[in-house]
Amino acid sequence: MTATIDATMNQILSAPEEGKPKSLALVASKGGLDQVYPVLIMASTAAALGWDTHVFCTFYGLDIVHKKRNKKMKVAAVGNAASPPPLQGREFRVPAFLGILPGMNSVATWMMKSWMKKSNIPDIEEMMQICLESGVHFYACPPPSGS
Amino acid sequence: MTVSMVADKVLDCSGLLCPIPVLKTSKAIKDIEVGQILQMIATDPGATLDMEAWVRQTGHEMVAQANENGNFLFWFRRTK
Repeated sequence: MTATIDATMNQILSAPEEGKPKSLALVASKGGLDQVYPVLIMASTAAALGWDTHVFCTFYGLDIVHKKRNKKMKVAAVGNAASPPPLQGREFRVPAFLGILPGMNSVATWMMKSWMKKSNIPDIEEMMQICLESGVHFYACPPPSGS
Repeated sequence: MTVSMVADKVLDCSGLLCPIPVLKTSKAIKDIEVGQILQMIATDPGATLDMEAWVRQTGHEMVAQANENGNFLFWFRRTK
């Protein structure tokens, strides 16, 4: 199994053909803080590896390229059975129904942000800056709703 | 063991986790001239695999690497 994975990874990561950089296209359709991080991390890393990287932002993912809205991203407190993450081995679960209480989104967001800060991961604004500096292409592709 | 090698630029990524060392390295390598050496220091054990993949992808050269008191040291030569 490991050998198969290694072989596949070597194939994927092998040096690109002459004058033909590898490319990556991502579709970002979600605007939650926890859903945007993976997109920006994947995109910035691909760009750092010299890949031609494109991110298509659509539906709620449009918030990624919105100057004001991308500073106010939140984590939804409801609808995530794995929330909150087991930090430092602490296995504690908040009953799902508590997520409907007022302010729970802010609590979940605060937890996520402090988690990221503890791991020295830049915030969305900085991630965006890194992506743009390393040459990730962003496309705003609004759904046909008139917004 | 003390490893010493002349580096034109030193990048400290101590305490930073994947993928930040890769991002910072690829940014820093642009600040040196072709043929010059960039030294990178990381504490994330995953950095070894990351940087090996990075040189394979970008074509820059990893001149040396070392493990010193839990720090992972890398020396890269800019090739293009």
